[in-house]
Amino acid sequence: MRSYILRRFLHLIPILLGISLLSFFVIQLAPGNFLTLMKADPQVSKQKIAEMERKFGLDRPWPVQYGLWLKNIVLHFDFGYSFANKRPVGALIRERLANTLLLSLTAMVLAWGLALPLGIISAVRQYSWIDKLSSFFAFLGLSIPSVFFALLMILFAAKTGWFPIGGMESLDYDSLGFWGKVGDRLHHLALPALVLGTGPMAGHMRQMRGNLLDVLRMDYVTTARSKGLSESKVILRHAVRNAINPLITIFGYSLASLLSGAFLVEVVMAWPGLGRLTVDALFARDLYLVMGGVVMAATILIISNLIADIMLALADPRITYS
Amino acid sequence: MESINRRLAWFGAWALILSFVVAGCGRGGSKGSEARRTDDFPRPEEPGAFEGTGRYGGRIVYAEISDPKTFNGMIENEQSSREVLTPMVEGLTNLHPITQEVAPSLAKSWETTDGRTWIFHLRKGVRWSDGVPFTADDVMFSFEVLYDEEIHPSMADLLTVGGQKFDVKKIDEHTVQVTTPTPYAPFESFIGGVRLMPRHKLEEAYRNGTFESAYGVNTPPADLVYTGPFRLKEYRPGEKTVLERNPYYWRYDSEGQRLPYLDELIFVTVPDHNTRILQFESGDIDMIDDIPADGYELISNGAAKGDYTIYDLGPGLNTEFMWFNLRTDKNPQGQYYVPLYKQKWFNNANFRRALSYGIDGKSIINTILYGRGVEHWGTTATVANKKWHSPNVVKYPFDLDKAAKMLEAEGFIDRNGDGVREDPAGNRLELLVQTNSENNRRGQIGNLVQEDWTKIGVKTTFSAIAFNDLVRRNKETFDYECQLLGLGGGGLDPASGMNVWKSAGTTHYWWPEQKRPATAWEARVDSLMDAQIQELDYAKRKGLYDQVQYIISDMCPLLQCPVRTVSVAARNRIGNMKPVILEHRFFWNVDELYIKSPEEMAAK
Repeated sequence: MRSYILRRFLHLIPILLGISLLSFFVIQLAPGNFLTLMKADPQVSKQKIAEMERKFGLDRPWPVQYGLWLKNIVLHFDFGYSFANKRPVGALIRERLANTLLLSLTAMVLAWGLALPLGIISAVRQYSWIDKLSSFFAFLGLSIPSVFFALLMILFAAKTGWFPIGGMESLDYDSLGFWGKVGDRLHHLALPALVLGTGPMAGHMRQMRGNLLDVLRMDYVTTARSKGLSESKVILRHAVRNAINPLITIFGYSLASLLSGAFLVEVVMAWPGLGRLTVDALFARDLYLVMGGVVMAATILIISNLIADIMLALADPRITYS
Repeated sequence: MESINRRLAWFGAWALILSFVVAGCGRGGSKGSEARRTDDFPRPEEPGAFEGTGRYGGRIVYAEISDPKTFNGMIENEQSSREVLTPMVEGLTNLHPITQEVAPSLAKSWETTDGRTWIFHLRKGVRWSDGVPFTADDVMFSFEVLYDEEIHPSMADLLTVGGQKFDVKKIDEHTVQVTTPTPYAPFESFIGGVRLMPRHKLEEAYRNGTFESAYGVNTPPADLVYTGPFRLKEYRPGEKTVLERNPYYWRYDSEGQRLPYLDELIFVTVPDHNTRILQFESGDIDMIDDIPADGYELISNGAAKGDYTIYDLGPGLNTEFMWFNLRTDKNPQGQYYVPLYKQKWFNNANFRRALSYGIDGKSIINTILYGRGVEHWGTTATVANKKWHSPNVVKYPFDLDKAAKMLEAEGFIDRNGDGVREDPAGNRLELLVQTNSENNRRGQIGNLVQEDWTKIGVKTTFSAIAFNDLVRRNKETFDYECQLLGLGGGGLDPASGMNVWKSAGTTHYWWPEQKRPATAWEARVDSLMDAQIQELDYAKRKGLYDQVQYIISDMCPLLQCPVRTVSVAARNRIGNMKPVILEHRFFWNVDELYIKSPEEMAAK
């Protein structure tokens, strides 16, 4: 198992190289660069723009730029400089990463924490009112566009006053005690996590329900029941354990997709995260910040898939890695 | 079955509760505190005076669209940074936004004898926000940085004439002399744009070549030193910037109280404008800038309940216009940028005039701007520009019949009855108008213009493309026919438009960077712009610029669309609130703002 994990980590290198090269290339395809906006400003002289191009290395051919970028990462662990923010990319990403992870992980807890039990109940009590109600909300959650839902929640917060209207912490956060701070964070996390987690929750719930229904029809379930096992043991220890197999695989992608979907929620609900940073950088053609964001997202995706694979091996004794 | 239910129910409930724990929801409100106060910080010898009065305490919360990118007043070049810096940095002078005249700031007075040599008398006794005295050495240092070739702030280009920098000399600890190579009319307007930087904090970074990364957003607040009414207290990336009172500030009110009144000024980052509006309505933020046309009714209906006032500031300074590609030359591959037959249309002034009559300004105002706009013709000097706007321009009120007749007179006639005119050579009158897709309003204007022009036989295709693509076409490849864009910000002074109106200018939209003026009228505008920049007498200078406005409106290289009017809203409990159309709308007098006491609120 250990060598397997090591090999997976080594796979990171060619994958990241490929992703970064492709991203770099695609960004170059779009017309213009970081300075295009400035060219349209009558108060910025031509020399100034030429100087900036030289300073940022934007006048060199793109393979050269890519090579320099790679060299800086490998030799100095320096992810480059953000033109728009006038700071090193590493520092920017580090600051926002924690915020985005907090939101995404909370959304995942919410999504999975509700999806699994509801999915199981729906399958076990198929066609009961619980099943029908959960299905209804699942379809609603799957269909509603996240931007619309986010705006709706912001409106809800404004009208009722029960939740803050966006933001990560209140202005007086620093003067609160420890539990005050925890409470404040949760208070601010509630709606964004709800918006972010609803879509995945709905999908996973339906998935769980479907898988479990299939498994419950299997012969060994009937055998287990006739052996005299309690119903809860039959369902949870045997049926669910098998039904959950595909969901563990999905789990790996779940975190990564939450990170990218977070952008819309971050903008509407004023959450200072990585998604917003990366998309702003994209629109501003802030080359190295976009690359940093892409590499970070790719790394998280690969690592979460590795975790999912390991969990799978732990859950399913039939699977072994060597 | 039951134990499953219980377990699952417990599991689900735990997940639900975890996500919905509601802690004490404190919402920060601003409470005022004690009225009068004196302090132990040294009073400057020559303080500035504020004729009014106010009350100490409290804070104001303002929402920005994005984070500040730097706290370095010399190199910042975008709005979010500028908003946060305005309460902190100062120059020798500043522009009083209500009178639109130059007013003293860190220079208490200045004079010139020959129009080229200017003597500035610095305010005595001013200190930086860390207590160190402000002297002429700081001014010398700031100008040294300004004119540094490597750093090259944009401001430097506005203080350079014919490639020559201004000569800056220290006369004594409180006197500085600036000499321009030739009389430079916008000198007084532009000199205040040089932000004064503390030599004792930044000289080392400058000598080391790290000036541009100095005073970035991660600067420890105690190190961020300026002379303005507020200084940095805290910065949280992506979330907020908190400013606190500068206890050394040099202005006093009519009762001898040192300004500013507010304890704190907080800038929160809220990118989405719907969220900003809701936050304003619920009291999280205290003012809202540039109320969008479609939100106006909602906000004005809530004024009583939300205890705020709407200020209608009138027409703004942003213009929106269309123009044709007037190039008649060939590209490096030897082909015409604009096909020869189309050049004949675009370069025909009556063609442009006719199509300008085809822009339905009133409908744009009523349907697209929700009634919040005024018609405008001429240059970028809208009616909001009190000193320079000229009403004597050629106007093109919407008249499709007139447009049609003018086209007929130029030989554009629909000879074959297919609804599209042909030019005298038989080419169909077809053109492509482009604007940037990110701007919804421009998309609507483009659609309206396309319909109207098509009605009079000019087959118009309208498309919205990415902004960068648009700029690349009008600045690098020049493969476009007609674009719709806008110009905003910039300054009031005609000199800030040199690059637009001069034929050699880089943003001379219809044909930038000409080696020689392509037309007689462009040559005339060139000489007028050259003359006005040296004309120190205001009346004469205005006369010159009035002529430029007339010629631009007459020859119609830009087909103007209406100018939007701007409305803002601010909480009633903020005293001395006088929003203006110029920047900074709310904070131009941030040192005078205060939170009214409950008694004062009840007395209204």
